[in-house]
Amino acid sequence: MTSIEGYSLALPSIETARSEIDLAALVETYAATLFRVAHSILRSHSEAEDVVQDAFVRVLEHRQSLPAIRDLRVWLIRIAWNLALDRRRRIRPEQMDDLFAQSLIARTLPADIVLDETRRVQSVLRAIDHLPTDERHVLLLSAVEELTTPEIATILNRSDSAIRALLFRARTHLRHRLEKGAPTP
Amino acid sequence: MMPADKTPPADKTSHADKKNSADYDLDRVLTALGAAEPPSGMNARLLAVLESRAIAPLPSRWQRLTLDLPRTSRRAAIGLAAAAALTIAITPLALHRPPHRPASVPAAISQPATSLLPLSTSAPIAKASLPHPPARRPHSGAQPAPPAPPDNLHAASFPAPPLPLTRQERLLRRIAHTGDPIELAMLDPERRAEGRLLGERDFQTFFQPPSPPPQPSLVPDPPTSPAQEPQ
Repeated sequence: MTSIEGYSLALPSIETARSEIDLAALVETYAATLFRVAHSILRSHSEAEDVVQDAFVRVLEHRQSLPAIRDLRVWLIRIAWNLALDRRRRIRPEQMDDLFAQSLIARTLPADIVLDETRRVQSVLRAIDHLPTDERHVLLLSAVEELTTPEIATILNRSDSAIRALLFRARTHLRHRLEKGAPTP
Repeated sequence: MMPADKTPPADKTSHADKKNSADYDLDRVLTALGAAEPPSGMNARLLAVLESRAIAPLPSRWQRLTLDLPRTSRRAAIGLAAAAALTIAITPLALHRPPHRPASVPAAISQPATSLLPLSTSAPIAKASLPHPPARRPHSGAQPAPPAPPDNLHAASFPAPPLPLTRQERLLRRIAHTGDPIELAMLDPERRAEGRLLGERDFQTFFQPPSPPPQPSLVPDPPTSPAQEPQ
């Protein structure tokens, strides 16, 4: 039985002993990455944590087939990404923008500067939301530092070159929009 | 488009500043989005949840399917399933519902065709068109078990098939097709009555009974010579 931070996983059957060990290790290894993947699209700590929890619950449900999965890391990230996309349809990430923008700006700055910085961050977030779906997804996944281009390509079911092209287009569009001014919501 | 060498220096500077500012803002936001640190204690909470889930029985395939759906889709799926079940339950009742009949019309009047038919052919049809037993009976204490429903409870309620013609109907059809004036005239009851009267009159005329002959008296005649009877 594996014990991490005082918790132990007691899976019901003996044949899942390997999954028992893997599951506890998976949480320790990949929880932070999954959290960042979910946070990139949801912009909320609590929502991202819920997504990570749902992802590991799915792993628990499919623990019988865990040994057959070739790339567990990409598989987990894909689960978390799809769950985050599904959750994004139900919530409005724009509601989290104020909180997220305030978390980026130092509280010691003067109020007028804080207000200006908040407005600029919000304009960037709105510009990201107005990108085409493929470009937005590639841009957000590329923001997660741990993910490489082949991994993003596997998650989004695209080729490496398509990912690079989409990323270039996304940044170009964003730069043009930000130079012209924030788009109207 | 203005050539690059003719661009005023101030515009160049502002454009570069804008570009740098946009890049800076973009990188700052993307870094903050993708490098967020998980809240403290997240792993412990995850393991606690997973432990409770591992002890609890796993949901069935149907439950997993319904849990995977978003809340609105789940409601829609449940509604669709309820509608389908209701449709399946109602369809047999609608198909086997007896034809509407006013309650005041007696059953004998509502089935005229069966009473005119020969017994051999009308029996199954009459059996099939029996009214259904009432769906609900008044409750009156302890009653014996309800009789078993007849076998034709679910018989289809389409009209009876055309029956073969009777002998009289076949004769009428043959007369109408041949068009014999005498036979056609015989179908008219007035003419038939007139013909019968005429025949009787002819019969009476032809076979008029003769006048009855004078009948002899049965009383003996008195003696022609009066003779004194001796006293």
